[in-house]
Amino acid sequence: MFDRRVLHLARIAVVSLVLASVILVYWQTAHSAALNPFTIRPAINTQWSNSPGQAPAQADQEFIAGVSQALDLENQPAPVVQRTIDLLKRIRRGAIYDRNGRQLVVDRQGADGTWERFYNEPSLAHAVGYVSGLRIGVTGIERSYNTTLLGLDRPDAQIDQLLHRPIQGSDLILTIDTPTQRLADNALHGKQGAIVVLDEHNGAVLAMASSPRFDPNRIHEESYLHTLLAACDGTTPCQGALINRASQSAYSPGSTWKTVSLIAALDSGQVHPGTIFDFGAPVQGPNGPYYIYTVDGGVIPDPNHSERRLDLTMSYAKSANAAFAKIGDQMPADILLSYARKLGFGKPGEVSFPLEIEYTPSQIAWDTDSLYSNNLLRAATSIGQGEVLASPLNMGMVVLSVLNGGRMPIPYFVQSIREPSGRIVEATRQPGVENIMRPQTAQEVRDMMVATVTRGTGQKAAVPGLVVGGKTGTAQVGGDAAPHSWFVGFAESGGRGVVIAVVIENGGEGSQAAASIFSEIAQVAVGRLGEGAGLPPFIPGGTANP
Amino acid sequence: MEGIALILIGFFALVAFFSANAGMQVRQGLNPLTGLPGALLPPLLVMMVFAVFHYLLRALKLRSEQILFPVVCLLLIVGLVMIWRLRGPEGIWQQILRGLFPGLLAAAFLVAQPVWIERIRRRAVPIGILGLGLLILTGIFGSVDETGARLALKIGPLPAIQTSEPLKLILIIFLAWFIARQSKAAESRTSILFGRLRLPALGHLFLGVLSAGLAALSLVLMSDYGAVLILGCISITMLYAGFETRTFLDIIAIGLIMSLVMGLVLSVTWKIPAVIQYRFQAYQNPWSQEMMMVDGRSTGVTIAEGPGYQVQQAIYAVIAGGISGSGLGFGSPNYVPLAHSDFILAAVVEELGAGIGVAVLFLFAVLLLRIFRPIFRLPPGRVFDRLLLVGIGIHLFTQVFVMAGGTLNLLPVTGVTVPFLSLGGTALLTNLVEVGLVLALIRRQEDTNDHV
Repeated sequence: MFDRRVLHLARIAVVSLVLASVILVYWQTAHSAALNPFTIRPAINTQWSNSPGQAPAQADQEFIAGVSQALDLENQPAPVVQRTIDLLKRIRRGAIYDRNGRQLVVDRQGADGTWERFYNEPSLAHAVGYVSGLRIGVTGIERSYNTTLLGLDRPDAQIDQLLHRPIQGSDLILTIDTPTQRLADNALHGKQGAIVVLDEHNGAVLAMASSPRFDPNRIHEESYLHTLLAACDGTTPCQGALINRASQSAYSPGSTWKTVSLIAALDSGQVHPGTIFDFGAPVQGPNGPYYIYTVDGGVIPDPNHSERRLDLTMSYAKSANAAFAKIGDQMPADILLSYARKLGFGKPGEVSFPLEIEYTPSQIAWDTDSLYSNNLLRAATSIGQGEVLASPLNMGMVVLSVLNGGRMPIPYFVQSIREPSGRIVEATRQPGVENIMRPQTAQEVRDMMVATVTRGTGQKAAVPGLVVGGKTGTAQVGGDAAPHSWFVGFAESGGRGVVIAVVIENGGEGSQAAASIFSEIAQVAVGRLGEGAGLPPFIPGGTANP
Repeated sequence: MEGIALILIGFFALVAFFSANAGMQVRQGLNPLTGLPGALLPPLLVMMVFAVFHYLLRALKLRSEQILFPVVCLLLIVGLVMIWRLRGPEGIWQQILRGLFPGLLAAAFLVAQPVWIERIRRRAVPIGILGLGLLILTGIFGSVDETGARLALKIGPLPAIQTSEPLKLILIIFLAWFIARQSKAAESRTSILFGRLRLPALGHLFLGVLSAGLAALSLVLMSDYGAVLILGCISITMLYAGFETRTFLDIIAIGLIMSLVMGLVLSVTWKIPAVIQYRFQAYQNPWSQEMMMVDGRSTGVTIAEGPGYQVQQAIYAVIAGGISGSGLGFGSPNYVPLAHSDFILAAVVEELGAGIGVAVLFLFAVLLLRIFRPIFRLPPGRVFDRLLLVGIGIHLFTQVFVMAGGTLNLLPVTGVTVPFLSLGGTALLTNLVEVGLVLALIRRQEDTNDHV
């Protein structure tokens, strides 16, 4: 009896210990992913609105909230946070170089042996982004390439981790050309707006500037953030310094959007370059005569030219609202929408692209159904007013598709990744959008863009010695505020060229402010295309502190 | 066999301390060999003591038990290396000088003089009264630790004694004596009362009341729920093993009486202690963002920040370890509160891996079976000896299981030490005395066999 009961006890005890072992293995296997360092932050889904009435303070506040919460970190269990930070502070995050080997971002070792991030090129603050105080990617390329910069996607780093050797992240080599970038940044000095410079063949980003900007080295200082947000009290228009106006903005694109209408109309066969538009008798206004297009009782004014009759080429070159309003009025909404969607314009948030930075999808209308029923809206949309909202990056991408015969490459920043061993790996490229238009259409649109600069509204954009094409835009923003000034175009020489999109908030006529800035940058940028590809010197062991 | 095992353990000890030292130095960016002599001194000294104990066992011709002592040594080494890594030289010397050396000395004395077991048996009543006195003294004069429990008694300049530890051994001795007496008496009584309930069941009832009262008393006096749990487990299992009942009726009766007494005590204090309330909340979901409740009122602290925090830390330490562990010195076990004592299993798994973690649990299972083994060899008449072994085995097992369960959220967290691993001089001393008792009993049994 006694013996049997002791046997029972022994059995219960052994089974309990086996159970404990099983639970131990259960925690390790079923929950082993729980400790992986975070790689991705909250989507910062804010946009810069061009309506002065709206208080963008909201957007900035959300943005700041994204910073302080650094990837919902607050919602994670304390042990995960502690252990993640522990790991990340001991990793030397990869440096970031421009295409010429100039160091843009680097990790420096502090006195306590942990690493800190330092940004050498504040003009790239928006595109490159910054890492949070917890050294977890928060924005821009720092975010999209977080795992690479931490080295955690390399097998040899995992071995290092296993052997408790210090981990070194991989370096990034960007397509950015610092002289062009600085030029763009200078052009925006004292203004609000954005400039994007892309390689016309592959969409490589040579420069991306947004103004006003911020200092990524100070972003963790609370007082600095307060200063940045000082104007955002809801009474005055907010500066929105943290927003990347090049890709996160939602500006009315004005006449630059006529390129999209033109592509749709030409490619669907609705018009051809020789189609003649007769605008009828002009109306007398306080600033002289202007033409109008009437649709469903609505009137679209066309003050951009004095000719009564223009062919399609010159209608585009002179930005004739009446011609494009008519095109839009007559165009079936299905056709307009199918071309617009391929080029990135749909319902809010509908069409996005696999970009390396935060991107606010452009929109053609708040609700695409209204384009079927509302002819006036469709006509207004065709001239880039209505409810169309776009970022300079997206407008640049439209030109990219024209220059590449109907294929739109996806803009990219990272051309290659350099591992600490010195091995250089090409970055993975996203496939472009194919078959947007027939090559012939693309050629015709391209010719019309050139005509705009040679004979139309974009003459200020011309650069001696370069083939330049483009489209001006003057986006009415309502009220007494001056319109936003747009120019989107390309400049090329000897098979090399750039696409440049410029927007200056309240900058006035697109044919003036924006076109001059375009010309100034194009002059330098095309020449710079031959430069670069020089890789930064490799520092073995990764211990040098520049 | 024992000698070979000890030599292997010696190698293990040196490698473990060497790599713990190297890991800690490398983590600070220093040469891995820095401070090596200081790191190798404790294992060398401890291994020498083990060797002396081994030769003592050989000299005493203790042949039938060659596994128990090496298993204890291996567990001690794992514990010491973790304590050294977590608490540095101060912690390890405290453990060696206050626990390991006196414990092995006492064990050696018991093995050399097994007749003392007989003396202990005869003095079980005074020992029990001594235990009760210690309990009351601690309850009144004991120092309160950070968790609000009154566990330690500090007398003059002497180091503080965790009185709850020897108390468990005293309870084992007292219960073994009492049950042995009752069952002897049972043999002479055959009358049956109320159908199938045998008369000695009254003895059960008395004992049930006594041990429940003792447990409840310590509950009130010490606020030490870990001790209550272990005292309860020891009482129930010893009663279960020791009394020859034909039906479960007796067991049920004991259970009822015990819960009644516990209920009475709790109703006198008018509530379930707050600690138990929120530990159960943390057990249900350590990550819960709900408020921690005491007596139905919110405390303003979420479960995750409050009682769930240590469970989370322990579980994440276990997860962080992986199969092979982070390596000694490379993990972050210091995030786990009390990693050097109650939660040392979490630290072991984090730095040495799930493999070693499971191996440690396996070693405890082996230890338990080796402690139970002599029970089947002792003559049935030696009820006291056999019950002593049951009590000791269950004591070690419950300590391990309560802490392993707490670490893995298999049970609500209750603070007890893990035998042979945790930092704590008195606890280690008690456990080593228990090992000494087991070895002494084995020696007595061998002698008996020789004579027969």
